Amino acid sequence: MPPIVIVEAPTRLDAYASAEFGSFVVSVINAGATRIIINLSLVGYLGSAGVGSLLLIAKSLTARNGRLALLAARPSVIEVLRICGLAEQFVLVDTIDDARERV
Amino acid sequence: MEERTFTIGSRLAEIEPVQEEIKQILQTAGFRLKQIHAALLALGEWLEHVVQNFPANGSPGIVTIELWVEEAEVRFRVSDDGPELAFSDVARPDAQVPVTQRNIVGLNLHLMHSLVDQVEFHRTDGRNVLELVKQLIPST
Repeated sequence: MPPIVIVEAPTRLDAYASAEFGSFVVSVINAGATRIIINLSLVGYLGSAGVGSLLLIAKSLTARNGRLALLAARPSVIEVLRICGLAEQFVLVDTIDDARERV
Repeated sequence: MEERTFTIGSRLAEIEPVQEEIKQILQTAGFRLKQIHAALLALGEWLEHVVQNFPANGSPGIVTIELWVEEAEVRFRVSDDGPELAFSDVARPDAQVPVTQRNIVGLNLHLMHSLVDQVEFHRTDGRNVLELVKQLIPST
């Protein structure tokens, strides 16, 4: 099995921060990572730009038959994903053990 | 009722500090954090939209944010002297469309509309003007 890469998301995924975050994770994918866990536990602010970054990451991984899990998202973050119609599309998990099993 | 006016330059980095300042005001007024967060996220979505609408190579624009805090609601009026913004009806994202086929165009306006109770946009005297209203419940 390929190794799992765990990425810590910053506290704020807005238009200012999310482009750099998305580009970083995509560069990790381009370097060969196919099993990625994004730890969202510190994210208190997820805007549409942050959602766009998560979509970009998911698309990049899917193109390489990879898997993505979003770990420990706060209720406010899950609410944004729900509004955007994505809460059911992403793999949302509460524990690192669950995340490891899903990627 | 409390009234405040904030002015920021058209730079993304200036959005978070003004949101933090407004958060303090709304927390002091005793509103619930979850609702404050929703109001600030809606405001942030519009501010990002406005700031990114200014020409990248032009001189920085000015964005004015007026705030009214009342007993059970907060109102924002955001105005800017940037290019005229398109403000069309917002399509609801289709949750059945797979992630790989999702388009993020319009997601910001959809999110903003979903988080507040009232949104009005108009162009007045060469300025984009957006008004947001969010009903808030005191935490006690």
